[in-house]
Amino acid sequence: MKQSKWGMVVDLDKCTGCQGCVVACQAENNIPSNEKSDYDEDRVIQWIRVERYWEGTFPDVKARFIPIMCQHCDEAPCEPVCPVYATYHNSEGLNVQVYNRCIGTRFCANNCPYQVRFFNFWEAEWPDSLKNQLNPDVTVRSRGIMEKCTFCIQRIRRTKRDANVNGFEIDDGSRAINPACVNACPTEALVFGDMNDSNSKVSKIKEKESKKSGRGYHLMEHYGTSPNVIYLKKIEKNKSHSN
Amino acid sequence: MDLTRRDFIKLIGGGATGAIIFSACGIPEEELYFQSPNKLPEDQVTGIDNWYATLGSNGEGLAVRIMEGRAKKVEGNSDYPSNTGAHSYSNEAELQILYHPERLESPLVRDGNRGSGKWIEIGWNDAYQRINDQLNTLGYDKSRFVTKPLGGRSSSVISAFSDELGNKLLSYSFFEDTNLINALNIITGSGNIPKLDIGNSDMVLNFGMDFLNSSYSQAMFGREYGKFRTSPRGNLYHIEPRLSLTATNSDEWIFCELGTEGMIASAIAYVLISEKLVNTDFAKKINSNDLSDFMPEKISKITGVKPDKIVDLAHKLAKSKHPLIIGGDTASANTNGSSNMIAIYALNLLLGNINKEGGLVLNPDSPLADLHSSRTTSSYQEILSLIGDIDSGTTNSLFINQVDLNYSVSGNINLKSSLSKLGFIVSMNSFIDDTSQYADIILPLNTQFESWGNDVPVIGPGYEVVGFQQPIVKSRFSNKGRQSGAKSAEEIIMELSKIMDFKNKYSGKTMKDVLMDDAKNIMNLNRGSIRANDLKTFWNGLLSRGGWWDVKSKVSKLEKTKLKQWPKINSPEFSSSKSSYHLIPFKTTVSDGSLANLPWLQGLTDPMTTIAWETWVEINEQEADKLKIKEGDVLEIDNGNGRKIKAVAYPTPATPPNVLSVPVGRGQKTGRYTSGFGTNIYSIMNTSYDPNTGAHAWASNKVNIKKTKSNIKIPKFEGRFEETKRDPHNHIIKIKSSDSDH
Repeated sequence: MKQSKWGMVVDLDKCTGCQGCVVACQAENNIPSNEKSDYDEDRVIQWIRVERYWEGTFPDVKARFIPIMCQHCDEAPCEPVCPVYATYHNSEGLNVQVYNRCIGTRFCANNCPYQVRFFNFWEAEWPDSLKNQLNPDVTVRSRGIMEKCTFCIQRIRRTKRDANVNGFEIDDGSRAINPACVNACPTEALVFGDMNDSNSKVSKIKEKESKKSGRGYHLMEHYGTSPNVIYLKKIEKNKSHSN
Repeated sequence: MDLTRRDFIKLIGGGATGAIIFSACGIPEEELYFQSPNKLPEDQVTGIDNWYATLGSNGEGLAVRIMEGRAKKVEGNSDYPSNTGAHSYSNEAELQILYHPERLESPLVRDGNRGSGKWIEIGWNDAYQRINDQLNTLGYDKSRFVTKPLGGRSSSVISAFSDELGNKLLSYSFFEDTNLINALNIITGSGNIPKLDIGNSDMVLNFGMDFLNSSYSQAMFGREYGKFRTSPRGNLYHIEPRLSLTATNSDEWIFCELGTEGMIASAIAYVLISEKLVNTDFAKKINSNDLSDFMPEKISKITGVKPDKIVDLAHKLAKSKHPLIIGGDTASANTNGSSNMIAIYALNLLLGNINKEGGLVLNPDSPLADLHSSRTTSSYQEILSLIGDIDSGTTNSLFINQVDLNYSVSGNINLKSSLSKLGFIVSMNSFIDDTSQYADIILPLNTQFESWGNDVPVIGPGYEVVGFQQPIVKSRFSNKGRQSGAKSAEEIIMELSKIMDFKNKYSGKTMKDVLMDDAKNIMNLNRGSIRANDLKTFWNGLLSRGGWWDVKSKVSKLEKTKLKQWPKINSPEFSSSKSSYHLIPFKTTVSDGSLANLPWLQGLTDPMTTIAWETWVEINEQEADKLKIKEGDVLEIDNGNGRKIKAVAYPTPATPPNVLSVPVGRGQKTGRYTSGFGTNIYSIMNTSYDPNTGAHAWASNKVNIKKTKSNIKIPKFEGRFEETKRDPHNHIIKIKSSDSDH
């Protein structure tokens, strides 16, 4: 079987900032609820966050949104600084966090320009009954551990296993392998797939939009991190009249 | 010797690294397999999961992942026609309703004064008997039933019970939709809300409808919006007195003064007719002289929209191949909301885009004569009338189903005082809220994922759909025995009907029996997505796909509009002429408050402000500067009628100078995740209704503000990180012309 290289496309023209991806990620990956005290202490954990920018002033004003998650960089600056190899690049292009190796130096978070790594300052807590909803495929991280978006690696593992056992090919865009945020996005602003498959939707978008006239770009690509998340720029019509 | 965790891992890691270097002189191509032999859950596949189709509370088709009898993850059902795989985050959070730590586990009877919070657990038979005895004493005809908006057979079952008591079922929502439904009924001649075919339109003109934050179905509108933004890309123009989520995602937000949307729509109609840009049957009936009061120059000052903008919009609509004009929310929520809405939707008649691709696509009636899409609300006037009946003693007992009246009715209604006059209150709920706190008996409810049901989408996809909901997990408290635990609202009503000797067709039945009757009737149609020769096969098909639909069952044409001439446009009236600011309430992540007890949604940031857990007041930045108001300053909001509340200021560039926008949904007094967080905005509302329809004029409030001496840190995500830098050579958001621009 050909080795996959996972990547994502984020179409900013379709992202409405609705936050559906944030809740889906929280549900899939056992991220504890962000309590008010977490906001007060700047300890909020969101593996995917939707940043909001104001453009202009009233009445010519807009809020713009950018979902930001781990970019799974090919040249990830978080990887070489980990003293215990808790973060490394796997063979499928994923930047992986091994929780039971992490000793909590936070070097990786300091070195990540996208600020998508989160440190567990506290032990995650849920009321007993809410523990029923926890996903058994995902580790509940303990205090002192760094965590971040995994592109829902547990879904990739499960679907690949099912494909091997049952002898089927994994379709491009399969909902079984898509990260939770992709399946939740109502406008289909997020697209996930195998960059090594030239026929995949992500590869086709990459090919089309990476050209000079295209809308594709990488976030802060001048750092040379070679991310595997491609953003498509927002389209805005020319205004013929002002109000 | 004490070995710390850090030392231990260093030892293990060091040893293993050495081994790898010796064995392979480098990093193996596969992966670094030198971690401890305990693999992480992510690396293992444990247990077998199953996905079951069902429906969410807002009628979206869902697929829910179940492992070992527990619900783990909610996603959209890709088969279900209205949301095609997407789902709203409110449905994702249904898991937290199911496993909420405060769920009621058995019927409760009040022990002590009303509101004292003292309860005694009783059995179901005891509860039914007490209800029967009380209603016999107080009189059936003096009792009323108020519910949250219900759909499908739930609505039929509870309506039948209410009818038998002798009174019409009332359904309450602060943000009710009477004016929208009334306008669409007049324009299309049909009682069904048409599909707003945004996805196939090339130009949408939207008057205030915050459809990306819709309580009908965010997922359905999200899918439409995604399609709309796919090449060839459509353009969205949004007219509203505040920058809502939909406004900010439009191509152009056009500010207008509150309540003037009908005038703007009429001015567009004037341009279309006077310049002979439209030639439809309806256009031929309208004389431009009849609309001369709405010439763009004449209304510009009142509406705040420049004349050339109105002319430009009219020209763009006339050039568009698939124009669509929609409206709702603030445009419908003033004392002139009904006339606004009729004028807005009448533009579709003028442009001849009804029942056409990219326009208003009509929805057929339900395939079953008595199964309706009834998730609509009673008018505010009907709710006021109920409260009048309670105060006069005409009503002396009340059933309340999952609606927190005491929290969410406007402050000008003293509901607490009215509730105290009632002889008997039965609350049906999964939790104790600010209303059930005052009940005499509370009947605990199963949640959406533990109950049977069906539904006809409020806004269908343009053809017949009946969704089916099944219990995907066992009732959480089923181990408590037959006399304890929770039941579904329909089950309770059917059992109670039998005890009260009611003769309606649902009395004494089970919800599953009722649904199987529906399934049989649909099967006998012998058409649509599932066909079978026997009920068992058909039933299995229904449950595994989440419903039945027939894509061929479309409405062939617009039969008859009830609109004969251009509607008369009334002027809006506001609560106080002396106050300076319009108070525009809006829903955020916790909706109207019904989702506020879910920690996922309380902790989820509002998209525009990034604030969570708090109630804030959005105020224009320059206006705030003028008043020396800074972010976090606690403001006193005064409705000019003696009621005041406090909320924190959030200056923003998006708010118009004469508007304060405030999210509803927080400030409840009861509940672990609600009490103590935010302020109840409903409590200062002084709302009236549209005299034509009785619809709630929830945007008609005017208030004043005063800065207090306190300032608090707002719980928000903004500022948590330094903003991602914008490289001047490669903007994060680069603006370029759209190929599809008109």
